[in-house]
Amino acid sequence: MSEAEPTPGRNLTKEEAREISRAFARASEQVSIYLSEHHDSLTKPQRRDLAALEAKLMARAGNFSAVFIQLAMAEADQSIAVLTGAIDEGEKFLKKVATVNRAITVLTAALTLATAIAAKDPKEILKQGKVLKKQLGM
Amino acid sequence: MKSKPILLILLLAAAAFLSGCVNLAAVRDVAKQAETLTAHNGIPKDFVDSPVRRQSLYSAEPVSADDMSAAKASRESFEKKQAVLAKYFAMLATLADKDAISYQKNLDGLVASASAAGALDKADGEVFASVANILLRTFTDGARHRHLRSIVERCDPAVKNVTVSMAVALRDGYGDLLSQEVAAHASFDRAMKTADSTALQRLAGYVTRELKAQEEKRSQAAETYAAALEKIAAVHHTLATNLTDFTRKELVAQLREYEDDLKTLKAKLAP
Repeated sequence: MSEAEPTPGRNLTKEEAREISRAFARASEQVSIYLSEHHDSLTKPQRRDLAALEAKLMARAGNFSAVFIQLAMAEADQSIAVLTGAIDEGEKFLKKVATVNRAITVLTAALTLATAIAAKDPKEILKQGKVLKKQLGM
Repeated sequence: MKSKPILLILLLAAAAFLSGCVNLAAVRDVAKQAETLTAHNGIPKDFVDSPVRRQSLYSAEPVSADDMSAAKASRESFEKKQAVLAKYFAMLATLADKDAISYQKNLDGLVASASAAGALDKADGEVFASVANILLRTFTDGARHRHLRSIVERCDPAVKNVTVSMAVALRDGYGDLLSQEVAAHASFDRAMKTADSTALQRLAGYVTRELKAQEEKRSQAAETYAAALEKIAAVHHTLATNLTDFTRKELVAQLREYEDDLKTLKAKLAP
């Protein structure tokens, strides 16, 4: 598509995009049938030009089909925002649960450290201190 | 220990409460099927491959950059919706999964530490861990169900809208792309009929047979996927209209049927 032509999709409805796509496809098929029916009476350059036109018209059809898909998907944008919000909400809840579980592991590490301190075992104190720091994310 | 009978009673009461209210396995399983089906990636990939095949039937020239860019944008827009829908159903499956949340392992560790520190008798500790797990689970499950119900209710129109848009893109947009390929194929056939060489014509016959089989397969896959999306919307709507009790026997049976339907559709889409 040349730069002078409008960008497909701008100000178009998806129905219009599909209509245009189908019109291009029909035009391409007409050229194809003409080419076939008049094959013998056409010169080689004419055949080549018509074949190129046929392909180009079908490419336009494909381009507008792609635009149709994009427009159909754009219609779901607001709904996607609703679903994204719900996903965030669900994930936040699951994160909170994970926090409870983490609190338990932190408490466990703290108790293990306390045991090591009570036993006056420096190596174990050092080791459990590191575990607790890890659980606290320090 | 004096506290043991009380703890045991608590444990039994909590267990009885839990056994009566938690079984969302049918919701979890059907949501998992919806998630995997939604994420099916074969068809959007073909939004880009189809123009390439079509162009190759016309000439040796590649698809123009502009057309390729439009094709890629259509694929991307479709896949973005797929990804969100799949993530949404994955989240529903997690919320419906009672095993997704368990405190038992960490509580066992806590009890072991408390016992070692002399803060808790080992036997009492085991009971404590079980009771604490059940109570925490009961509390969490209540919140889990509330979230599930609230999200399903609020998102039902959105799920319907997204699935309808995707089905329209498949049937009309991708359907037209496939029709354009069929037209290119017909053009190829017409051109080959004018060929002088019988060998070329025979080759054309072979190519035609192969292409027709592929065209039929792709067209069926598009329809299957569109039907799957509609089924997924129906599953969600069924949940949204049964918010009061996701464990009702009739609903569970219906969800199991949906799950089987989705499995069948998934098998049809398998390469």
